[in-house]
Amino acid sequence: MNGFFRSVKFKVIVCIAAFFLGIGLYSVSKGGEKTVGSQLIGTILNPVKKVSNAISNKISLVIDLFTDSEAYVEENRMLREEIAELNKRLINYEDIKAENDDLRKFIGIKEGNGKTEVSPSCTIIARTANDPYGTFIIDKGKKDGIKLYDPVATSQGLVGIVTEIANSYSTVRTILSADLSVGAICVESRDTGIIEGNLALAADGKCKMIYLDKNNKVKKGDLIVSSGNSGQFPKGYIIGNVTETGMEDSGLTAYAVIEPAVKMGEITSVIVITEFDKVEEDVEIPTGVLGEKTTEPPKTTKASEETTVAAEEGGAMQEQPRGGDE
Amino acid sequence: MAFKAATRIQKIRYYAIARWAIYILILFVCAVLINIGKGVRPIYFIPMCICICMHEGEYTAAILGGICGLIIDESYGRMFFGFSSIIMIAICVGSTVVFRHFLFKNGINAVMMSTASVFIYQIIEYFFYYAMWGYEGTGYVFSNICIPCILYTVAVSPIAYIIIKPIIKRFYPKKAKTIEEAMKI
Repeated sequence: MNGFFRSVKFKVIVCIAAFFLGIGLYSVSKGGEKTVGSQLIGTILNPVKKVSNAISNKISLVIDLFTDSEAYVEENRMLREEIAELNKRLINYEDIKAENDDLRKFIGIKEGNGKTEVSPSCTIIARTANDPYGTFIIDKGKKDGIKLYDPVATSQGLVGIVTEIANSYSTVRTILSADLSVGAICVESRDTGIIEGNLALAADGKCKMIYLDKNNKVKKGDLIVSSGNSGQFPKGYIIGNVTETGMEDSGLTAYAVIEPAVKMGEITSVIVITEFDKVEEDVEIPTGVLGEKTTEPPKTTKASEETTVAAEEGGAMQEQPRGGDE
Repeated sequence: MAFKAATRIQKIRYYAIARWAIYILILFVCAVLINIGKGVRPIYFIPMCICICMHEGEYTAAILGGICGLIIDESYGRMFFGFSSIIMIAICVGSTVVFRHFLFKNGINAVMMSTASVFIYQIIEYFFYYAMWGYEGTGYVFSNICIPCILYTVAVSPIAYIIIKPIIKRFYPKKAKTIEEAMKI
């Protein structure tokens, strides 16, 4: 046995290990771009994974219908109650909208959210093995116009961000991930904070809104949407509802537990937002001799052209993927 | 007919080709299975590689471990594409050496080796991917992902041995027991 460690064989094996270490370091240096080896494996395996995953989904759906029928009945009842609640809120909506339109005209704010371009519908071909955050792989990549760090959404709300990209497929990290921060705002109370994942909450498919002001008015059931300030995510995309609120241990800020509108474990297809208009943070300009400050109305610029600027922006509304999990 | 007329060396080559073709097919199935479904999944590659490496040489084990590691990293969506390769090379070469010098090549030892290997793999993964970064709730990952993954992989190990054993029996060249048998070459 001792002879093995002194043999040429052992030295050759160490060289082989060093070669694979080199591949690893090279892949890290490429950032989110998939290496040739990774793309090769993905290209060979992905078509089979796609078919097997589709079959697996069908089977689990059939089993689910039999085993979870009671839960569906309960969910149906809760959704009906929610619809009734929303209908009550809708009564005043038209009046408020008309009033809002008049006020907008009065102060001269331009209408519309600008240009948004999305990819064709992307099918989830595989879910990353043993990942607590529900990371998944979609069947569209660079050749479909998708870029690294493009936001991903469904009709229900925000899902996550493209963190790795190959020619024909991409990896999407969900908002449940602790490596991803999304600037968010509460629709009802206008309190702002940052959505960040958490390993313990990710197990229940939830995430956390942190850096809330300690005097915030966020309450259970409030709707949280993306604020879009940094330009990494579009503004106004639904993130989820508040299920719980509390104070951080430090006592300086508060937090809210968010149940995402999109059930990460159940989605089968998503869209990638390839281009959207970015809302810049309000710019404070001193005016007059007294030094009073006025706030400029938000300007819109192309986010795709200014992603680097977005990453450098300071303030509470910072949205950028953090260094990766390596 | 051509096979029957072949020399022992030629037969060994045919067997090796057939054996590796089946291994590649099995590993391909493992690569597909690891990404199917939801929840915690076993690392099918570890018991499969150990069962294969029990009967192979060190170089073969190193290359097999390296390639299987890359497939694991691709399935896990890792940015450090090669992380598992280094661990898998150590596991596969270690298995080859240990089975050659210390252990009998039987099912129980294969399962024990798989258990130890998957445990080491999970500990290393847990440390480098979660504990080291100080994420909130890493204990959850250990108890709800690492431990079930170890248990599932251990549960899969006997199946891996049952799958690989007949292939070895059928396609591995039999050792010549007598000088006369060896002279037939």
